[in-house]
Amino acid sequence: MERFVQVVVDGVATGSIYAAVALALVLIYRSTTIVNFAQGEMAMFSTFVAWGLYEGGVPLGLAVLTTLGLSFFAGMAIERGLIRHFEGGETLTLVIVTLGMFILLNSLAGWIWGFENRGFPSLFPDDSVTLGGVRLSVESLGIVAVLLAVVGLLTLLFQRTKVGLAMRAAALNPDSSALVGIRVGHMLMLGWGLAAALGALAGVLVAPRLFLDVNLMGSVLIYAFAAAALGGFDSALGAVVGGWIIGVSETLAGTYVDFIGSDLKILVPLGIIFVVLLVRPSGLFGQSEVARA
Amino acid sequence: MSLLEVEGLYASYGQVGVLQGIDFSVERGQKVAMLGPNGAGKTTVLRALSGMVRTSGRADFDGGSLLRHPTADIARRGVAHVPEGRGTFASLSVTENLKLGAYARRDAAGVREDLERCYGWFPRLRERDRQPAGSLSGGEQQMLAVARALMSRPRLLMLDEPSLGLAPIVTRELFGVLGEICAEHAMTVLLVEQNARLALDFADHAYVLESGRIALSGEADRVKSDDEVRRSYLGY
Repeated sequence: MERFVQVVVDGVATGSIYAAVALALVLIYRSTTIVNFAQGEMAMFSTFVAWGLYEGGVPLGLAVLTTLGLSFFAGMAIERGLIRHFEGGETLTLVIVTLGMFILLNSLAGWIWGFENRGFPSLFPDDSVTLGGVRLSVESLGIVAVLLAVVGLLTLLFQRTKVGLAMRAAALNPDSSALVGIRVGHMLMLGWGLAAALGALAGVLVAPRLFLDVNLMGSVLIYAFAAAALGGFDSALGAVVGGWIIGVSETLAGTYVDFIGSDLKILVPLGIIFVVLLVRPSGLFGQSEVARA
Repeated sequence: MSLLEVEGLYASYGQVGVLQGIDFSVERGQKVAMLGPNGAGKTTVLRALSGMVRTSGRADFDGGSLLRHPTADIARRGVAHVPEGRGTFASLSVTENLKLGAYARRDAAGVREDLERCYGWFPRLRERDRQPAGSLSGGEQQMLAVARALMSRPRLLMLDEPSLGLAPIVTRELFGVLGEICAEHAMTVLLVEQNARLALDFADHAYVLESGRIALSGEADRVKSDDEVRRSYLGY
């Protein structure tokens, strides 16, 4: 039983990282209907920046916070400088643009920091706590707590603040938003900035569990896409639940089903997604527009 | 000086010219109707003033030029545009829609007051304040669109075909409330309407557009009582 709880908590922690990247994808998708294939590489790049700061002597916590801030502005700059010129264009064009950014950031990171593996320190102490008789790692609990805090903050932003309401409005109906005085371009920039910061957070959370190299986010991005598709690409709640389902099911299957092991465990969440999307093509929490003819 | 003074306004969608140089003006507190058949360019007049189409010419609003500014900036200067088809935020609640109307305002207390006032004018909106706007009936959505525009405390209210798709009884109700609000607040209105009879009853002054040009203009009462004009331009 103790083993089971440990595996589930570990799965939720892994799933929380997927959820953070999935949330970033959803943020951008909702406001611009762009699927940002470069989300993972943006996060990898940010993680290298944090690593660079840390190696340069900046305390880890400060390095991470600085990186989140830098990523926020870099995300806004990417929207303003690059994406803005293609918004409202053909879907395929935007796919190519974000894929191009993927390759560019990947190569750029390799050029700056090299291609070898590097260790990345964890934000949390390498320790465990005993809760209800079960020993759980502080890191796993910490990751889940960070994700919950992020979700709480995003909920506050979107549900309780004026700028959050304006961001939702700009995503829903840009023309009407401009007519009430919302500068839609600023809202899209903000969305990209938030997404970049979220991605960076996922990067520094996942890096200690893997190794930091230019392919850090490769598989995370795929799991995050799966999480977003499972939850519904337009639903923030869906991204989180989707991330958790994937994290838990892959960890459980990898632990308890012998022939699956760590090589085939990706098949389990993908199987679940396949079934869910057959029954509900818009995902678990995806909405079809509320409208009355 | 007029609140809005338009001179030689041209507007085009891509290569297609829609407005061929029109002149008109709206005085403070005046209700002006822009009439004409489908495709005459009525909607384009409003879209041009809101910066949503390519324009040339002059449009002075309260001493400054309106043209060639971003739509959001024009809205912030006090031009509230209720677009054709209402443009409500379908999945946001009625209250959220109304709050968005006041997005550019900084006086939170005044906004709360105006929210109450809007619910007073349109009690059906208060009953549905938490429902998504997309679940309202066509008439309720039009009321919401008008109320949202009023939430900005506009200096010029521009309405695009508010009667479109509404039952006659709903239209009468809407224009009844609009008339009261305008009288109470000396609101300046630029109304685009295909229903000429309705618009002429509401407005003080009317312009008739034909193929992107002003074909005639005059006081609403005079236009209404001129049988010749009515038959040849307004078709009733």
